[in-house]
Amino acid sequence: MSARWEFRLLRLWHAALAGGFLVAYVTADEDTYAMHVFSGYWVVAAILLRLLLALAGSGGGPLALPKPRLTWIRPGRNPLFAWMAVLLLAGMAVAGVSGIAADFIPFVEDLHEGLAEASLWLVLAHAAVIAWIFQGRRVREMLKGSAAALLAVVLLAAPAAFAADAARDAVKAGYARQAGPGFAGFSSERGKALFESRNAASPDYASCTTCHTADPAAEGRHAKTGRAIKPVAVSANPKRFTDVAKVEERFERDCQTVLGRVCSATEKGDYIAYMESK
Amino acid sequence: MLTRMIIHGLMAALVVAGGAYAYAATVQPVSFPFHQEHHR
Repeated sequence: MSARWEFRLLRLWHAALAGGFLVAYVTADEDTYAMHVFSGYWVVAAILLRLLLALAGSGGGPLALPKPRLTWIRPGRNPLFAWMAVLLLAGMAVAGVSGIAADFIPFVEDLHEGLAEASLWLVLAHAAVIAWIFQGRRVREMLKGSAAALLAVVLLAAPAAFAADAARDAVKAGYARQAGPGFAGFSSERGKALFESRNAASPDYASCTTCHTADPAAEGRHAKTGRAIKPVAVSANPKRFTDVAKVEERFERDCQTVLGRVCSATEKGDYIAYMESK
Repeated sequence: MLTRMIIHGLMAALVVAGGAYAYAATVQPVSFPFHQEHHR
């Protein structure tokens, strides 16, 4: 194979891995679990393919996987490139394989999630290093040009991180408005009763506790897929009930699933009040 | 070169997402069929 074709194959492979990782990362939610599984297998297959391509390529060509060295033999590539590739490939490979294993061995889930998060940072660092090396001046100019915009984003984002309580209050205020006249406040006791109630709408999901467990501060597990669900109690998961669109989407889906009907605005507020008290 | 790589990566992501969506539509019980089950 000519070096030109090897380089083309390498670029195609790189796009396939990057695309697969991106999809796997953004679909890592119980709602999109099947897509996550598909893209996870894609990533693992891409890494295996890379090893096969290294065997098929010419020695020292673009497809070769040089052994990472501790010393820089000049003229030649900085050994950090090889180390970066090893770190990225190993991180993603173990993240992918542990994701597959987590279907059978639940405690591997934590390793899977940790490695996936770490891999994302590795990917971002990899992109930054490459951009800096090959497009250094352009990147520096771009950053300089957008410094004001970046600063504004940071300044706007920082208070938002501390505004979770305010956002949750706003969600509850919305439900209070929807509840209309006669509304006399939300009750965490009623929320608790709703959370623990057993229903006949769906035998697989008889109660909220089926997936969330009886302790809202504990991590839940999806009754059918076995995937981890982050704690629903605010004390254990402060991001809960802060995004109105997400809150509505989950209530719409889960009330139908568990109760077989839509929840009233008061019930939604009660549920949030209970989760705030836990 | 860098821009091209990013565009290629995003194009590949679209392809993978398409495949993943098609796969998700064929399996039970979560994801899209899960939603359809409750929005009939």
